[in-house]
Amino acid sequence: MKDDDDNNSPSPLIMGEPSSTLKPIPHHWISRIRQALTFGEDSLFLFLAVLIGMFSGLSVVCFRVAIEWTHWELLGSSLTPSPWRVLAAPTVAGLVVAALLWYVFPRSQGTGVNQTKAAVYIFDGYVPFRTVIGKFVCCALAIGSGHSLGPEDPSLQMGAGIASLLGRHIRLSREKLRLIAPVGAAAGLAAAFNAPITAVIFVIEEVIGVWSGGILGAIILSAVSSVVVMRWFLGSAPLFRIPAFRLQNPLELLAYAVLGIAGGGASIIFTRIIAWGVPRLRSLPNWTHNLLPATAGLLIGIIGLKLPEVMGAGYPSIDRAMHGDFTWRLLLLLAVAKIVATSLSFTSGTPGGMFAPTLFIGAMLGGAVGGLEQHFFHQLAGSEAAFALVGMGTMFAGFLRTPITSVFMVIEITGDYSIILPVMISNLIAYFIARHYQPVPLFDMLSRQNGIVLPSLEELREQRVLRVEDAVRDSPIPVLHFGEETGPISQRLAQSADTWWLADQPEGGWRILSLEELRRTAADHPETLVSEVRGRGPVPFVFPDQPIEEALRLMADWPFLAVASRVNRQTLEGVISLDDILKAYRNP
Amino acid sequence: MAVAPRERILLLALAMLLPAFLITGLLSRSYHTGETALSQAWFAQGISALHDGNPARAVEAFRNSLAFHPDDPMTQLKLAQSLIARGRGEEARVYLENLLAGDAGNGPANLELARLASHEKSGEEALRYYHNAIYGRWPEDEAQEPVRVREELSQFLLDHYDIADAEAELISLAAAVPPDDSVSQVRAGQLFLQAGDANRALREFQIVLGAKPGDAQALKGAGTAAMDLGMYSIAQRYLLRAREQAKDDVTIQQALASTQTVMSIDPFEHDLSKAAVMMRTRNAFHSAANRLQDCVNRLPRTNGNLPGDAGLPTASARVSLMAPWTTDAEMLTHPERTADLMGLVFDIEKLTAKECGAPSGMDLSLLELARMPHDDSR
Repeated sequence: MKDDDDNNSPSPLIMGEPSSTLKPIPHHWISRIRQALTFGEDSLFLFLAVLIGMFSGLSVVCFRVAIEWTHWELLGSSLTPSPWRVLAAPTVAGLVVAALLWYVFPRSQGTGVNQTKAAVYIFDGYVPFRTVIGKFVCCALAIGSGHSLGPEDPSLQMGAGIASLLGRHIRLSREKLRLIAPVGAAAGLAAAFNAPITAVIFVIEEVIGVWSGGILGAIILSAVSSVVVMRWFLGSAPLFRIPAFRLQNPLELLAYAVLGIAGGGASIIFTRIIAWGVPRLRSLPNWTHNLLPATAGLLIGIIGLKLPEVMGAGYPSIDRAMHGDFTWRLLLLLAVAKIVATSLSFTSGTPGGMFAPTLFIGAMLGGAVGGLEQHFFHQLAGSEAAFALVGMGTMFAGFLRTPITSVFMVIEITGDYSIILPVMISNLIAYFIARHYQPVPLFDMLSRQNGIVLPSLEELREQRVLRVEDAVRDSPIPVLHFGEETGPISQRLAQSADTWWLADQPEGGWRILSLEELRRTAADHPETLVSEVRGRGPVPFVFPDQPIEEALRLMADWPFLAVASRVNRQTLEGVISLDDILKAYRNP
Repeated sequence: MAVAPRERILLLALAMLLPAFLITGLLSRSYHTGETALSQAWFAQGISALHDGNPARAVEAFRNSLAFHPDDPMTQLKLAQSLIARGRGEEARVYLENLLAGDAGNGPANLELARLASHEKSGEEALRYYHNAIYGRWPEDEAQEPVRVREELSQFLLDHYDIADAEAELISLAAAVPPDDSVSQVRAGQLFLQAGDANRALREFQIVLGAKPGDAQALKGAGTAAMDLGMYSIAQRYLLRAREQAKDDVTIQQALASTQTVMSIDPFEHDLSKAAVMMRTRNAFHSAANRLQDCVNRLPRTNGNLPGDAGLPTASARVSLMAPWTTDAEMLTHPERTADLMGLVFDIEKLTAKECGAPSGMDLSLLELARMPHDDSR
């Protein structure tokens, strides 16, 4: 009551008393403020996710502004810059970026996705903040000057770096610290893409690989808060204007299947060029490494003289492709040129992401396939714009190997569910073709080329899970009813070779009885009921479809576990022992 | 107040949010300002290029402008217009349809699509877009633009020989034209003339002349409409006034000459002396008879017969029959035969125009007389 009274009493300042009469803040107020500021680890994690999202959103806004300013200053504001700018800007920027990477930000090379994965699996969530600054400066300079790279991957890493910095200073537990980098990564990617769902699914699909409730909430919170902040400053307009989509004829789906085949093929070519180029350029003498970004810049400039659309992230050109600005021949040429330009930029070690170039190649390839099909089979194909739209997702699925993200990405950026059928068909075809001919996905391949073996989430997803049913013992354990007397079963006991018997219980479940104890009881007190025989129980039980690891975790010092039916938990389907489990592991 | 390190970091992070927001706000504001300035500069360059008749440069400038503000409807429209001017209608169509996707009632976009459809000979589509444009929204001059679109639609219908629909549109147009818009009224009158509705045309021109008696185009139009109605003396009056206003206009002089020729040969002209009526009737008869003879001589024969129906031989027979009526004595005795003689003249002119092509000289004037209604208003 006293507390309430105190709460209701007006503040001395409000009463207008002289300051000399101010009383110190009551102690219980301090306690309450401290209480309000004190979080449990889980609540703190969620609060931190929002904070990370806001900081990531702010950093992505500044990053995008920096890229645009660099572009205006170096290449001018025209979509077709003057030739000398096209040649000089990426070349000179390449020299500066190389110097920065060499002397100031040596860890800012490589893909943000892999570095975030490395933070999760190797470095306990540690992403150096210098890398964040390095990514910001180097990528703004490289992308703004026309190198064929995108801002999403650096944004993802900047988010992870911010998250790591906050997590470390707040001294999160090791477990939470490991998870904080993906939370920031989702925030960075969501703000860069202006697509929170895509970012959340990508991080789960490619970075952490699990749908755990604890992390999912934090990732969603951070992604949403970063997008809110980004939209506050840059507006809610999507990265490109989306044309209206309409599937007029179900036969059009065949045309989209063809796009899937083309996308799969292009993905393999693109991945192999990078897989071939990275180690070869890296094996050149060290002194040449400083010149590689500039050389790549010059070559991209030469391509840009004829096709300026391939320079930079290329979003305006994707927009134009989706609005029928290019002929299918030009679209095809742009797709090929972009593969070459992006391969040059990426293999030269220039920092930047692959997301935007992948979307660019996909849009151009999609438009080209659509145009070509329209040319020959007018009735079958939809508009080139629709093909460009679906093509983006197709390339995303084939090249980045994230089939679920690719489908959600197209739906999220279009806001149109009617596109889902062509997207799913085309994306999955591209994904399966790419997986068949290029078994190691791009990100895994890059990390292995760096000598780091990060877990391949694609492989993990497809690993065969051993289940209880794969190890359950063929010969069943004898089961007794709790109401039986031991005397009548003495003959069975005498003939049995089973060391352990099971007996059901009136309250459900089973107990383990030793053969020795049963025999002794049957001989000494044959009228004793089975329920009265000394034993251990209830024995833990598992279901046949549960992963075998769960049985292992429950095994402790039990000789075996009961395997119960999901239809009726009182029905015993068998037992599983440690030996059975080991046998299953040895002969999967 | 002692605060634990973790709480201190949280408070610090929260406190840092404010300056971070401020700095980002300043940066993004400066970025948006720069973006808008560049977009406007490119837009202005595009407009200037369009005015200079350089659509290629306009396309590039508008595209650059759109890169900054991709959804700006005016830039999209101008880009589409520049693309059309460059002959790249299909590309323009995408921008225009995109505009309509956001605003189905966009008047200028509908009009451009109507023009594209008209160019591609897609009549129904053109009609739909024209109507959408008429009832759509116009950012500039909301009163005038629908009137102009209806004018264009009427012209489109006339060009496609859809006279009935064109007339319906013209009636709506005439009703929609503001009374002080003489240019549109004159245009409406001219379209009525094209549609063959000389009565409504004359009314439109007369409305204009009520407010602007010296409007050369209205005077010319009224003169032409009066000619079409066979009111040659009225036509002559309008055309004389029109010539005073526009001395260099050759078409007015030609129309005036034509009117005067017709008036000089018309035996039904008011206040003519008997001698003049007789002379004009005789001249008309001889001219028509010569024209008939000439036509008969020129036409190829099959088995000695003239092609077509029996019109030409019958006319020749009637000429032979009525030739004696053209003497002074006969005409003085039977002045009522003037109408019969001129009836034959008109029949011959119509028939020979059909069988032997358009006449010239006096026969042309006689044909014009033949086509007009014969009443006292002349």
